[in-house]
Amino acid sequence: MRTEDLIRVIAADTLPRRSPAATLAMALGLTAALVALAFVALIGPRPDLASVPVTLRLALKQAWPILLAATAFGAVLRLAEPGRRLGGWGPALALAPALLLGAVAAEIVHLPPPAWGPAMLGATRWQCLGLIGAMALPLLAATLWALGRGASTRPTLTGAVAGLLSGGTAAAIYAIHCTQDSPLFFAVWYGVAILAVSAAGALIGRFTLRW
Amino acid sequence: MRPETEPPLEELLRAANRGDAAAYAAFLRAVTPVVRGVARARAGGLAADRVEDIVQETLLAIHRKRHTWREDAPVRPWLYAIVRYKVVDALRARGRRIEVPIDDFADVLPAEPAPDPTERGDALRAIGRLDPRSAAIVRAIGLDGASIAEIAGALGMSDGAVRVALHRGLRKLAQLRSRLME
Repeated sequence: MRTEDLIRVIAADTLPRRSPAATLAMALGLTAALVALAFVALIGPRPDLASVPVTLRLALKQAWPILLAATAFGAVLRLAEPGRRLGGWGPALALAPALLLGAVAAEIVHLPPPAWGPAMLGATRWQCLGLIGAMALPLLAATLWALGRGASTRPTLTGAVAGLLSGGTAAAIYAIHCTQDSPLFFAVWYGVAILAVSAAGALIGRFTLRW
Repeated sequence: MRPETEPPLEELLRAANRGDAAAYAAFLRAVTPVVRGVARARAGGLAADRVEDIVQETLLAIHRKRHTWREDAPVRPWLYAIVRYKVVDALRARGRRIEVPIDDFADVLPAEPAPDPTERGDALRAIGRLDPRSAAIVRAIGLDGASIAEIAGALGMSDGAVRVALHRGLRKLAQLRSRLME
């Protein structure tokens, strides 16, 4: 088939397609809603949710994964569109970690050194890692599926940021249940879980996001 | 590169997104020499029909990813990113490692068509692997110049069903073409 003939065939296919932003928002939104519902039904929020005082640490624990997911959403969308620069979204990805570092520094100043270890290790670290990881898996699958309909020219990086988006969303859901309010705890264990999801996203994306 | 009288690429692609097949064909015809120029410049020594294979693969990729262009953005950075990615990908699949720096595009001279790659193999082989109905539709439009309505009448399908079959066939074709190459 000559190129001119192929052009005629291609031009005849004018079915409209959804934008990458709409596809990603739909896939992530639906999956996050399902995961959150399942989580609340099976595991439930922290028992003292109604009575626990809203401190700055509590607010930070809930806010930083949301901030991470939001900035990762913006960044990954730009990565999924060819020829688009990350612009401010690259530096914006550092906002959540910076907030977290500030919280950790404040906690270290606030707590006496002997209390650092116990605060960091907490009581529920394995549960935290396991549940964030388990919730992130379907989110990562949905995110990578949606991004596969985009056209990333940097599949590994896109997969890694998709992992931050999925891991951040999973951590934000888990935080509803988590009773460990020390920044030392939620920086380390949420952080480890999210980074693991990001590594998985990079590895999978490297192969599945090619087109 | 293009006659001055033609509307800008953005206008053509926007119209194409609204379902204007003629504008879409004009868009594809306008970008083809650019694609061919890049492919030829980078393919150093690859036979002309091979280069034309890469051009066709890239056009299919542009088509499959056309929704990733944002209508308020200029077309060229988007187009060049796709062309660069696909040409590199196609050459790599053929066992050639090459780099395509971004700045190269400014100097690329649009190239004239090469000999027809097709009778020789890959294109027709890929079409032959489609389901019979999609293959018939692709052949009818590409080789016989049939319209959607004519095909619908001939195959006893609705216009919409023909469009969907064509859409799926092109998606499959793009995958097959990338895979069959080596």
